[in-house]
Amino acid sequence: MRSRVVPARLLASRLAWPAVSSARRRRYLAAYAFVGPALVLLVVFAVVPMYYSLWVSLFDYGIAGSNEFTGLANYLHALHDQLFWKSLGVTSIYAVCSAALGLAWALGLAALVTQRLPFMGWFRILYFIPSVGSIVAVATIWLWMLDYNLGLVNYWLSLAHVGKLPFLQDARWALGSVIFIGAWIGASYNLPIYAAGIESVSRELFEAAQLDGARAWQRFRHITLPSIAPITRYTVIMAIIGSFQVLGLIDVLTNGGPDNGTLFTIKYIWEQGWDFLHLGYASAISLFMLLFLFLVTWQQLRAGRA
Amino acid sequence: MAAVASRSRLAVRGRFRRRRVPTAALSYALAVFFLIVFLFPFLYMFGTALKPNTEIYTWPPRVLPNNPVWTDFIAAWNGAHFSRYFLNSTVVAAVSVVTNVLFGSMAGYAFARLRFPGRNLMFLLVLATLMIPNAVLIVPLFLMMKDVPLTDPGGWLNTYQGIILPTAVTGFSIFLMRQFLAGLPMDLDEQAEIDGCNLFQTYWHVILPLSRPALAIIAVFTALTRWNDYTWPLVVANNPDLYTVQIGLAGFVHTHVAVWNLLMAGAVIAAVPMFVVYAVAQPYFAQSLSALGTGIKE
Repeated sequence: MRSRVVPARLLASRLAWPAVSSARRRRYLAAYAFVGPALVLLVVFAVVPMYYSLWVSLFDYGIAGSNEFTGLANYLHALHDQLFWKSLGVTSIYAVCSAALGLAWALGLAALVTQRLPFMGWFRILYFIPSVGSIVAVATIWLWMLDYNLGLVNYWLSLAHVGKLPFLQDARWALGSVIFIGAWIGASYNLPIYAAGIESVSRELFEAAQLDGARAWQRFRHITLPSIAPITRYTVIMAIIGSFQVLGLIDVLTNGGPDNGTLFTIKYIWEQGWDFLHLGYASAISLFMLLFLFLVTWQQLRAGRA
Repeated sequence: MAAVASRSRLAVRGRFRRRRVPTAALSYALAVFFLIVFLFPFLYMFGTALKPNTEIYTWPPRVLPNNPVWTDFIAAWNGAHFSRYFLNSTVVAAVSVVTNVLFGSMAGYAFARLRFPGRNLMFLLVLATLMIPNAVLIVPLFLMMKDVPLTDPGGWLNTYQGIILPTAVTGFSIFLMRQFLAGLPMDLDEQAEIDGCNLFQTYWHVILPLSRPALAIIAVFTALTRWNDYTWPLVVANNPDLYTVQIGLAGFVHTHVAVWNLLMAGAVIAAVPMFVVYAVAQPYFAQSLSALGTGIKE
């Protein structure tokens, strides 16, 4: 009954605003008062900066406020800036590897802890702890664990006669270490999301499949996986966005080195903006990065739907 | 029909039981293994933080100290002005919790339960802000904070409002509140109106008390993300008096290279408050992430 009334109401409010009764107008005003503070904050601190960064990227920001309009020069410069492309490469490798490893890890553990066995709830609670410990503290712990000379991991490797590995001293190993730590945190964080998804798959479906003789792996492959596909799409997108926000991890573990092997885009933005005070250029890089992110995410969404 | 169903369930259970013992043992072995993978680094953190200076460079390394001491915590606390960082992080987290709960619930209430022109467009805007990575916002926000009109040179850099305002309300808080309130029966509002409540009274006396679980989730998540935030506080605060615990710890790592017992004591100081929050509010964490897990599917 209601649905028939609504369009007429909406039409009235759109075409004939003055004709709206004063009581209803007061209701609208009250509604705007409710959304007002939040909306003003979001517009001022998220929407306006988005456009402002576009504006800033057209300037050559010098030290002490001197700035010069240079049009698209920052963007042209970025196209030929090898370090910028390197940083996008590093970030992409990290995004793909740590998301794949971390999400597969989270999914596997979610399947483990959602079994109807005693104490699994406790494991589930404790697995989340790495996500609660702050990123800088976690990075500091791993810096110590992976220390070349005194670190525990290299000690274990020497016990296994592998010898010490340059976890943070070699460019490739350093990126690998950061990927592992990112996956470790990601697994912990995404596990409850997957577990909830698995639990919402209907029991009847499982039992029916079991009666039909489907083995555990087949049930997982043909029932669980398809039904949590939307969650996977969401977690992948969030993991990709997250890989552009790893500054705390990098600052403590590698500071972007060695040999720029862990120069993530966010680190490069920071260096350009605040070490060299090229804020216009930093802004241009960040927008390039956003374009890149947008394309990847769009691709991901399309792949998910196909 | 019912008999068939119950017999088939029995059959399932019987099959399950036969294979149960080895599967369960394997499950527990895996579960314990990953428990170690996730928690051992934190055990090592505590172990190292309790070591006296003489024990940090021993080889082979030991996880726990022979002679535990508490002095590292005092040395770390004093060595990096952690008291000041603690105050700053607490102020930032506490104010953000209040603003997110208040503004988030107000907006969520309007989006879920009131009709007004532009509602869908505004909500779309809220959702869009969820997708903006903060890396894109730090440069323009820095410049905006630097040039706030009618302020001294330096604007709101190195101020609490500078740190807090950009996340005083997040799209997440609004979204979560709207989803929760959309699930409450509409009769509540109608009944309140019949009883003579205006919209503000309905919000305050009827809706808010009913949305305690959602408010708790927002409060807990806001506290966690603000306490652990790194990038924006680093950008907006370059005066050590305004450093948060995370920025302070990162700086401490750079000034006390390889003094591992002090660094681990610093890590404990930075991490433990949120461990406490998690221990107290664990059900809310679980609920919010489950809500995410089941909510996305719909």
